[in-house]
Amino acid sequence: MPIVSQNLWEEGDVPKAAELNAPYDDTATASAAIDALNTRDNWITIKHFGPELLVGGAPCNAILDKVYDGTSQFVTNSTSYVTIDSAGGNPTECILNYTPEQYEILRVEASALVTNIIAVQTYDNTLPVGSRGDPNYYSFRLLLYFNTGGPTGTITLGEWGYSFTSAGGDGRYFTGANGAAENTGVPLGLQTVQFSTVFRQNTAGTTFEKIALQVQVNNALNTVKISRNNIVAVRGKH
Amino acid sequence: MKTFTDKPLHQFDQVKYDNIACNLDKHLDQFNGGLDSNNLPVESVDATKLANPSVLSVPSSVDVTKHSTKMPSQSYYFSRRSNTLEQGKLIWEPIFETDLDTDTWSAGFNKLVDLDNGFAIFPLQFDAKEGMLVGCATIDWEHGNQVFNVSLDTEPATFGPRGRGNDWWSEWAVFVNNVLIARSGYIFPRRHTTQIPFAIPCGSQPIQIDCRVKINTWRVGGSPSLETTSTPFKLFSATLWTRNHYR
Repeated sequence: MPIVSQNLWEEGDVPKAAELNAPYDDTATASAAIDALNTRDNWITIKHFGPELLVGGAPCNAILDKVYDGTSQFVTNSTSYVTIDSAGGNPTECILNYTPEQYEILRVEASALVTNIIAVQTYDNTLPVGSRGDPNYYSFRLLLYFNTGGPTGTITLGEWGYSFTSAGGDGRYFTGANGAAENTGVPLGLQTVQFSTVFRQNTAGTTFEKIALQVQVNNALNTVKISRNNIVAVRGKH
Repeated sequence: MKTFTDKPLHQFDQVKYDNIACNLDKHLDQFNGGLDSNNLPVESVDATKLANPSVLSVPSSVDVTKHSTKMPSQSYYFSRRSNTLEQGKLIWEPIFETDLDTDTWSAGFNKLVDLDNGFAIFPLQFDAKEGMLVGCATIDWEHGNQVFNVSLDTEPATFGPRGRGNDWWSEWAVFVNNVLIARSGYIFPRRHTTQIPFAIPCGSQPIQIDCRVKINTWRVGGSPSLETTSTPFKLFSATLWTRNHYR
């Protein structure tokens, strides 16, 4: 604790040399460890910050992104996650390439435009009760790629779902067994999808490589199409 | 703040107690808590001099993941209950499903904990510092529109499939200290992941943030072949985070 005290003398006291020197010696020692005890509230503001060092160029938060703003469509009926690649050869991956400090924040937001979907089977009465409406779903995932010196690993930052039509649940009586789109609700195309989350890195020494925006459908008879899409990542450090 | 010599000593002056103590007291007072940016060379501070993030303790449970992180200029508060990440379910499986025909719910805004007890600690609760709260709620939910075999307006009368509940809607909103500050507007039947961004100034005060849902529906019925009805409302995941940007 770099707080320095001084002796109190009364008139007539005869200070010793060591007593006189003590505050100066203590100050010299403590000056190597100046901390919050030595400083006033608001002793510095963001305006005092010098040249910044974070990737992206800001002292407290860095913004990184991947934007596809064209009109080409990524078309898939995959029942496992695939990375969106609307333009071909240019997947929706936000490149990070930095090593966060322990407890840093990675805030991620993504959005996309789903265009003219093709819904063929949105209901299946051969599935167990509770799952019969599942063919109507498709979902997105944000996947973080990282490494700790070895092979690249992945973390699911989040998954979020949507439906091909307005119908939902098991209670769709009197539809065909397969639930063709026209009798299981209104097909929902040309809608934006969006989601966000916050990830905290709890250990030091991990390098974030990239974040990918991925999509899958529940039933391969249905097709989802995506044109404009983007990922925005905020590195919160200070 | 910078300091200066109060009682300068001159050659042949008589040295008294004050000559020694006053000057030193003044310098030490500055050192013992009075240092500010006047004591720094210009442009001497950069990001490497700032403290790294630290963790604030928050309640957590197997149902809800929560974390808080404090940084020199801001704090982050996060809460999530997800079907895949917390519950170990598939993305297609809801955390809970309520039948709006038979279960208890409110015609006004429903707190999530009132629909399912697993959301008991979901709201963000923290002591904010004066500044801004900027955040986002992301909810993956479904209010289904059912299709029934109903009497169609034909001559002679026929029965056919027809969507029921096109005037059903749901609306999500974010509440800060029980005051509604952001809302989604009506969303008509579908499975939808709704994102509600919000921003509001705050003082140095206790804060509670949660999201709530308002539902409009009506009881399904009327089909001559109908045996049972249900009006399912499903919740797949809810995520809420906010950044407290200090003033």
